Amino acid sequence: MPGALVEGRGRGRSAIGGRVVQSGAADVNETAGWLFVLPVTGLFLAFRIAPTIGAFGLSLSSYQLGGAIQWAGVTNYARLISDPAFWQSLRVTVVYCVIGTPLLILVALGCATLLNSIGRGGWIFRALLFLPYVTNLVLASIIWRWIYAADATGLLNSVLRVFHIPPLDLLNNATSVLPAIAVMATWQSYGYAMMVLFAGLRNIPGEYLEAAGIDGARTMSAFRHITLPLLRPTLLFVLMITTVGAIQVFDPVYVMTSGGPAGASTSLVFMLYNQGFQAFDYSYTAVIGVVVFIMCIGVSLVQWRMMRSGVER
Amino acid sequence: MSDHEGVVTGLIFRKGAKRGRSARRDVTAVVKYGLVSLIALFTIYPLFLMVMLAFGSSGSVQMPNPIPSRFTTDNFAAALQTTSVARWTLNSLMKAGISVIITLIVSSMAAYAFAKLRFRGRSSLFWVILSMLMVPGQLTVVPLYLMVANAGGMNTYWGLIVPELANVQAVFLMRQFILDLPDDLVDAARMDGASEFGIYRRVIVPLILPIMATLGIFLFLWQWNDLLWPLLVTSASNMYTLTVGLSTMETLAPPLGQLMATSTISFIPSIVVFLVLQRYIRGGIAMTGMR
Repeated sequence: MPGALVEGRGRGRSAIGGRVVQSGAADVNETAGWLFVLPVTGLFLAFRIAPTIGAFGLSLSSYQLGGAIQWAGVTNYARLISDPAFWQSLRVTVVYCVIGTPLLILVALGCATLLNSIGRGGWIFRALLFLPYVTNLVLASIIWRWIYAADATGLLNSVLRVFHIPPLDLLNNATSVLPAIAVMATWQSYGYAMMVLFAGLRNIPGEYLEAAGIDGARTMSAFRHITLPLLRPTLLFVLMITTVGAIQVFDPVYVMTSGGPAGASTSLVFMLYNQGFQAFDYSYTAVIGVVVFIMCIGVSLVQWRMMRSGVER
Repeated sequence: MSDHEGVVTGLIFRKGAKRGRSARRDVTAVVKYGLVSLIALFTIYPLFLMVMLAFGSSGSVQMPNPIPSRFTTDNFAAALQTTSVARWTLNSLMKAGISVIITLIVSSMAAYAFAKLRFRGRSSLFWVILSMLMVPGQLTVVPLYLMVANAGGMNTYWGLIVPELANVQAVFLMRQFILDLPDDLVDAARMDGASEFGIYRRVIVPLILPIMATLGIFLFLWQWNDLLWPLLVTSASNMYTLTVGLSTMETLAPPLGQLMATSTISFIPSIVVFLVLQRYIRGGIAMTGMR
């Protein structure tokens, strides 16, 4: 019957109004909806979706500065597979992830746990530990490059000199350069992971741990059997963003080492930058970009799977 | 033993036991606070070093003692004269400021539509946008560069700003927030004859100001600290952002004091934003970590 009350059925319709008002509202909704998403849609189409498709297209073509775009099929991929520089940069990136990610997670988790057990005045420490995250990697690289300076003017070697230890040139040594960069990157960014983990720890109901305490469980095993499993989704989230960030490492390499010594710190993205803006080989650059993309997706998928399996358990 | 003695004995014993427990608690507290203070010291130290070197006249810092024997602002003056630091700071401010405002407006409008308006293709469009989360910036950076360069965007503000306005997290987070707002508010406004834009402006926006503040801070920090895109799209020194200028300056091996002074300048807005708005930052992290 027209004019009768219309049931909401949880679809957000109010209880007043007949059919006429409803269909009118639906039309207005349609136009307004499209108008409202228009700016974002336009921006995404132009600056995210189109370049993504373009990147895949570029990777299958041959395009260098000053030349014309030609179809090249998979020749770029073939060239990549046989390029020792690519395998080197892939190895550098993987090693960097393997060193840097656990380091960051351990530091962040340790600090988060420590902060969680502090009551009064905790917020001051949380602010202080988060502070480096507010800086940028360029600034951090500049400071730490000076800290790592090979002569005695840098912090590290001047301290070593006090203890009569000969100076270390960490950034110029192929074995120590990646750990040195990892330490700097951990310093700069562990604040964010720490805060996320801290929020996760705060969300664990105190009763669980109190119950364990009453049963006489010691702190370490309570941590392992209660806290960690409950923290699992948050931990996996932090692991995911840290790993993806490590795969994409660029700023410290660009500022501190320029990929040296002899390519020992040339990450995938740094090689990408070189290929695009030193060698101006745009299609080869796109291929490297595709590799980075596949790695990021792979890591995200693996960890998303792990998150879901945890929930089912 | 009489009841009275029993009670007193019990009291003494209990009190003794309690003192033992609280003594242990005190030691633990001291260890905890000591440890976290040490960590905080290590964390702050590099920034402290930067500021010390920035305010120290050349040669007045004898490592490992970072405190200069002579304090001066000469490094800042020299940096302002020999480099375009002032211009770089302006560029960074323009980039970060304009980007944040536009991104917040545009993303909140879309978020409102995705959350509260019904239109054909709504979920497909949302999923397409969400899928862009999977695409790292490095994949799109070269085609974007080619596009923008060919369109005459090199060394322009629009080239610097516009390509980075499309932000998936902004749309996603605001949509989550708006979804939680009761539909009755929107419907009531509609019944009163408000236009959709009026509803957006007068009902939705005031309610999502907290998340806009938090998002705005993170967006600002991200834009302020961005290196790769500004590096590619600017070639003229007067269009550099602070991050690009700093990294270029570094390769020229300037006097350490000047370098640190410029770094300190680039740090000031970040720390101001952080100190003033850290409450929102903490709240925002809790929100994003709770996925």
